[in-house]
Amino acid sequence: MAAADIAEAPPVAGPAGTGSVGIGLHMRVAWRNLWRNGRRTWLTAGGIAFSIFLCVVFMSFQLGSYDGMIDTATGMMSGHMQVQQVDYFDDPKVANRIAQGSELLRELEQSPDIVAAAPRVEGFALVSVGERSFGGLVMGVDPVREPEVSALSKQIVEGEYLPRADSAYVGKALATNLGLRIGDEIFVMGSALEGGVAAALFTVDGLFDTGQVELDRSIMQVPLSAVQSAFDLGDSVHRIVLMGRNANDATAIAERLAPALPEGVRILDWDKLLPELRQMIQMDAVSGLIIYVLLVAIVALSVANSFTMTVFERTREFGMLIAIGMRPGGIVAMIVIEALCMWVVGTAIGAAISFSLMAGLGVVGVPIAGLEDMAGQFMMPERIHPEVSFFTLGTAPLVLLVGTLVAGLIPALRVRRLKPVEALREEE
Amino acid sequence: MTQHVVECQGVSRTYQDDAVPVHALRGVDFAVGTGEFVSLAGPSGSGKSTLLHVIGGLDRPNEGAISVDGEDINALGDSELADLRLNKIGFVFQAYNLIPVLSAQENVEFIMQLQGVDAAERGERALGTLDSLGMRDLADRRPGEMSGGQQQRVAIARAIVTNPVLLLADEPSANLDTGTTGELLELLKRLNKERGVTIVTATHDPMVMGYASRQVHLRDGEIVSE
Repeated sequence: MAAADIAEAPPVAGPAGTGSVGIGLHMRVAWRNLWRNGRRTWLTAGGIAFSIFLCVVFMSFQLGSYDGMIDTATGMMSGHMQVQQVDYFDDPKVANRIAQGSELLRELEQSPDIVAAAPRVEGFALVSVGERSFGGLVMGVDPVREPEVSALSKQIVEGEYLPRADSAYVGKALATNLGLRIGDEIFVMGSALEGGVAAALFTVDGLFDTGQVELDRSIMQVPLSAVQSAFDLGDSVHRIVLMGRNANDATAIAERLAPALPEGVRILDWDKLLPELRQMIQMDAVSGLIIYVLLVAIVALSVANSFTMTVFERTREFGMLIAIGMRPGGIVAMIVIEALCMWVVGTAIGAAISFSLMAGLGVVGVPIAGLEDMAGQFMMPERIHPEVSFFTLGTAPLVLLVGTLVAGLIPALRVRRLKPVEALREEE
Repeated sequence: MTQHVVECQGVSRTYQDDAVPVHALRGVDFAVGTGEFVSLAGPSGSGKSTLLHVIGGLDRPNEGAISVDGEDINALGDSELADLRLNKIGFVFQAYNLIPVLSAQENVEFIMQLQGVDAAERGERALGTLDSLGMRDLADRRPGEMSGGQQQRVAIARAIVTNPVLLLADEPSANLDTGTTGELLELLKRLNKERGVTIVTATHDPMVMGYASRQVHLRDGEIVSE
């Protein structure tokens, strides 16, 4: 053996060692250890990637469909917000009105948060044609402003939308029940403000079909002034329907506008106007959450299995590290960093595929061809645009990061109980 | 007066093998002076490896006192014992036990990184130590790319690069052929002579015993001759 003189190494600089290594060496060792069993690493990282892909795609479509549902639902009738007399929402009778409707409408239209505003008066009435009568909601609307807050005018299937002062725009189901056709006259009779009889005659100029049978058989729209006159309402209105730029801003806008409203008048956002929509979204979100939790749990178990194998296979190596002075905590940290590296590999693959797919679909959307009936019933749009946001793209990777680290940590903690003499006797 | 690096007084170690107690060490009194090259010899089960392990703080005795470089091992907690092993004791194992994903140089540097030595000094000292053992040309090779003898030399480099007060070698020649064992023993002897490294080996290889300046024979957990 030809060796140089065995010169003594210089003394150790600084304080005596603490048995932990720098993050750089940890990373290097962890990264190389990861590829000692490449097949296992690829399988585990593939599981992480696949679950990230599934979670990102499902969450993006789920939240994207919520936005579409909210836009569709608020755009049909309710608007993003409504200003009402304080009791009208719970007790929608004619007397619960806003007295100075026109003035309040003008004030609300001045707000920079409001994109469109439209007044409505409403009264339950008996709608008759010849011998046939049905109960329904007669809704007086401004034919110019109403289409800016409601998509009902776009659901027209026959005729025109309120072209004259005595026009009626009737749901197709109601028209069928009454045997109505375009051009027929209908008689409306209800209870006026002071208890007298409210009566008016209208001509059917348009029919609508929203796909929501409940709506189509119970509503008819007529010009605002005709209903105000018939029900002795003067300038009163029952609702001022408001649209902001985005349904998600409605609550904040409502909070800003509320202090300026007259006494006895309040503003409600869509969340309060359409509680069934919020409940439907919450139920769907909970069922989605259960699936995500199960998916993450399965992946975490797979990672835990992978690292349990790692700890068993490398027991002698860990025994050696403890023998030369490395503290068990340092070894645990090294294994957790391996888990982190595993997550990085899986996330890089899963994120690259799902992010690029969602970015493209977020722009063009996905049509729900053949599901129009269901879409109408559940207030879903005809085309779903998956939501591309930090929440939809980042939640799954971050949750899996925690899951992966915990899954790596649990078997790694076994190292803390390792006895070096026994560990050194283990077979590799 | 001879300074003792290791002092054992009445050291006993008993294992439980199922329900049967195995007395690996029975009241051993033993001391190693600074600069000695001691061989613990004896057949399998004689207690030589157990004695090496309790001296190295890898195992704790049931009875008796052990001090290494003046530190009472029984009084040290697990963390302090780890620091003692890191800073004062070098280990050479039968199976080399290098970190397989690190190169020879990185293996030697690893222990210095545990001590907090900065990167430049680590590299310099690791290469210097490998050079002194004739391993500089193989500094970039990983353990799987080296022979048994080469791996054992890297293990020795790792053990001595921190200037330990004590080098413990457990059956260092067990996996080596006769030629390589000879080279390894020459190396240990030079370390002992030229650097004054105190060495204790556990072995049943007569060749290793022959290189030691002092032989201690154990049988059934007791020292039977010196």
